[in-house]
Parts: sequence; C-alpha cells; structure tokens
Amino acid sequence: MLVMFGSGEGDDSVSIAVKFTGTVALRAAVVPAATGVQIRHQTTVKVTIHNARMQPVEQAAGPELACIGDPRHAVAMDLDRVDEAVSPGEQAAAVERYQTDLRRLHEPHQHGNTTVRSASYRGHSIRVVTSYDIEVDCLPVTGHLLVTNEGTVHYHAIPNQEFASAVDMVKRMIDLAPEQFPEPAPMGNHGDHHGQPDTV
Amino acid sequence: MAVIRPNILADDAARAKFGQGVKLLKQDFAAGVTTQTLAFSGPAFPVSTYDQFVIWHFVAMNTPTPENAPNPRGRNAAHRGSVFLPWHRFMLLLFEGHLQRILMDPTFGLPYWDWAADGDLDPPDQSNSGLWMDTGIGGDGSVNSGPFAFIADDLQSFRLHFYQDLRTGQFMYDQAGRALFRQLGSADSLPKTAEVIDALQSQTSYDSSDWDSASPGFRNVVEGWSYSPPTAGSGLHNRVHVWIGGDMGPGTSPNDPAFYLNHCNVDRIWESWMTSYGRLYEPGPMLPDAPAGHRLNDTIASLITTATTSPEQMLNVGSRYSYDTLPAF
Repeated sequence: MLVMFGSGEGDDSVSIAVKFTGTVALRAAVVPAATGVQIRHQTTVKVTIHNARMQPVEQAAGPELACIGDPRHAVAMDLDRVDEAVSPGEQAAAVERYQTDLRRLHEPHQHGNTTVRSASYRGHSIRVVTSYDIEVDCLPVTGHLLVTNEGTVHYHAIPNQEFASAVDMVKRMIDLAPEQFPEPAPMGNHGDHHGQPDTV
Repeated sequence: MAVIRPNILADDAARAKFGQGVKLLKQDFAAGVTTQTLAFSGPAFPVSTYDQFVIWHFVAMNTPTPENAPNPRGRNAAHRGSVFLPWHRFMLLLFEGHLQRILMDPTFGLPYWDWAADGDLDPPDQSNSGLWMDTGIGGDGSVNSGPFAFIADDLQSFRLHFYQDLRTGQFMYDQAGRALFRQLGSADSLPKTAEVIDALQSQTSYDSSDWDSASPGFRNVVEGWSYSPPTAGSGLHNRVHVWIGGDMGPGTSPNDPAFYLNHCNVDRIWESWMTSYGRLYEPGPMLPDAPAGHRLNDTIASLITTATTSPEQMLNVGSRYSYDTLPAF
C-alpha cells in the first residue's frame, strides 16, 4: 500500500517526491482547504511519479536488463562523490541491474579449443585452423584456449600467461591448482608400460 | 579530499589498516547479495563485498570486446586491450572507497607494493620480503598465518569461497571455503627496477592498433604481453601474477589481497608515465578500428555500483589520490 501525504492550495493538485515502481490503485481523500470540510470520495487522479531528482522515472523502472558498457545506462561517477558510489545500496543495485552480465558466471564464453588464424601475405590469404583435444588423467580439459599468430597458446583460465605449447599450459594448470588435480591412483604393474610386456 | 597512497613496506600503519580493512570487507554482507542473487542453485549464502569484487573481475574477463566479433587474441572488457589501465584504476578507486567506508577512515589510501624493488634482489631472496611475513600479508603455500590466515573452525577467518575450475574455466562456489594459496617464486622472478624504467623511457605512445595483446605501446608493456627489451616469459604486471602463483593465477585473482597491491603499483607506474608524457590515451572515439569498450569515451561499468566511468575520466584522478613517490626515470 502506498500512502502519500501532501497539500495543495487553490486547486486539488498535490506535489510530493516519491520513489515508486509498480502499479498503483489510487483512492483519494480530498480536503478543500478553504472550508476545512472533509469530502471523502473516489476519484480518478492523474499521477506522475518522479524519482528523487524529480525526473520522470520511466527510464529507471521496469525489468529491462542492462549490460556492462551499455551507454544507455551510463551515469558518470563524480570523482568528488565516490563515497556515494560505495554504499551497500549501490552494490545491491548494481547486481540487480547487471543480471545479464552475471550470467557469465555460469556460462563463460565458450569457444571450445578450436582457433582459426588468418593472415595475408603477398596478396595471399592464409587460414590456419587448430584444434586441441586435451585430457588430464583421462578427463577432458574444456576451458577456452586460443593460439596466437606467433604460435603461443593462451588459456583463458590462466589469463596472465601465454605458453610455448599446450603441454606447457597443462603443466602450469596442474601446478597452479594441485587440489583440482588429485594424485592419480597407482596403476599397478601394468599401468605404465604402454603395451610393453612386463619384465621379470 | 585527496589521499596519499603509501608504499606498504614503508608504512606499518597502512599495512595494518589494509589487513584490517580487507578482513572487514570479507565479513561485510550489508548489501544483501547472495549466491541466489548471483543465480547459483541451492540455498542462498551471503556474498561479501570483498567477494563481489572477485566476481566483477571474473565477469569482465569473460566479456569479449567487442562481443559480436571477438578479438582473435582474447581481448576482453578489462584485459589484453587499451582499457586495461583505466579499468583497473576504476576498480581500485571503488575498492579504496569501500575500505575507507568499512574502516570509517576517509584518509585511508590504498597502499602499493613496489615489486620492482624486491625484484632487484636475487631470486631466492625475493620471497623473503617483509610483505610475505605474518606482519605483512602472510606467506607462501596455504596461508595459515598473518592477517589473512585460514582457521578452519573460525568462520571469521579469511577464506576463499569463489574460485575457477581450471579444467572447465567455470566459476565455482564453495560454501565451506578454504585457505588462500600462493607459490611465491616457483615459476618466475619478479620484474626489476630497470625493466620499469625501460618501459617508462622507451614507450612514448600509450597504445596502438590492433589494441590488443600484440600492440606496441606503454599499456601492453606494463600489462606484460610485450617486452622491451624482449625477455622470456611474461612482462611486468603479468609476471607478478605468475611469480605469486596459486590463486593469483586464474581469473579469480582478486581473491588474493596481493592483487590490489600489485595493481596499485601498476597504476603508480601509469601515473608516472602520464606525468611525463601527458594524460594521453588511445584509441580515440573516431578511429574506425577501435574496439568498443576500449575507446576514450566508452563506458566502464561495475558490478559494485551503478555509477560508471570512462577511460577519459580515469586519466586525471588527482582530486582523489596521489602517490607518496612515483617511479623516477
């Protein structure tokens, strides 16, 4: 229920600052100031709801999803008022506004392990398609990997490095997060011989 | 009011306040953000202000720029492109602001770690810096002592809840949490002062086409994809991530408070460059090959606030902070 208090003189107009999003059914009680006689009745009232700065609220309301970098939602931060940008309320509002971007938490951009490189040389078009099929302990590595034109490998989950080879990349992966790559179970007498007969 | 950002190894009070503030932000749930708000399935667990910064960084890293025609070298909304320096300056401004709020100290300036000074030491000695002591930000391996110590039965102790699965690249949540993990010096040595000076002296332009990880220019040398002179491995900023290792490796690297100390020093080096060459930024808005998200007037948004900024606005932030000293060259 929205309760508004206000007063107006000369006519029945009332101007108060409110912040409201949603559908409102209005029942007004009009008290003519000149008489002091209270007249209760239902009426149709045109209401314009404004935000705190008295700007029409339509742009800020509604379920439209914003995207980081979308200039339609840019409100440049005043460097002298950073304090206002670092409140818990602002944190909550940002999470609500950028729900589209937050989906990336669960769906990081997936380009697989295929890279298409292209270059031009003496008027010729060069196209190189490189695909990797990587496993560690028989389990696939599926994060996004790309190959640069210099032939180095960049793995998106290790963002500060490029590697001379995919093998180096996987070694680094194991080094960085050993808890994600538990020690393999002992493979017994036959495991490490790659088809070679056991020796006695 | 402009604050002074100090050298963390030269200011005991700043070091103590940084540790105190980070721990408070780890326990700050006032925004009401939960795992359900972030579209994780299952019960709703509160997400701290500190962890919301981790999430923002991960999301930016997973936002190709431009999105409809991804750069073949993996440029994203915060890295491997021109916006790298202003994007992280914005992040540090907001982080510093939250530290000021939670510490109730508007004079607090985010400290920086002059990693090049430690890089001038012999590699075996680099991890013996005071930064990695219990009186600093804790040490090597699983961090079980110092301000960010993990204590299994103390829910107030520092613990990681969000991490990246390296096999799949997926963002993961672990309600129980675990200790911060570092591998100091296991894969590289720290950059040296001479490398910082060389970047400042030799790179007279900010960036250049194709505005990615192969572009000549100051931004790319400082970010660490191109090297001057060419050296093996990663360059300045990147090499600090590699040198610390562990949780500084994946896209969730803001999990380690050392992330902010590294980037504050990167920002300080950038400020030194602009002091000498002017507050220059490329690409401008009209260049036909300039990628959206990296141009001078493009919007930089945040998952921390609805306020936004732009590279242009980040070029001069003297009204907010300055550094006690800038790298001289």
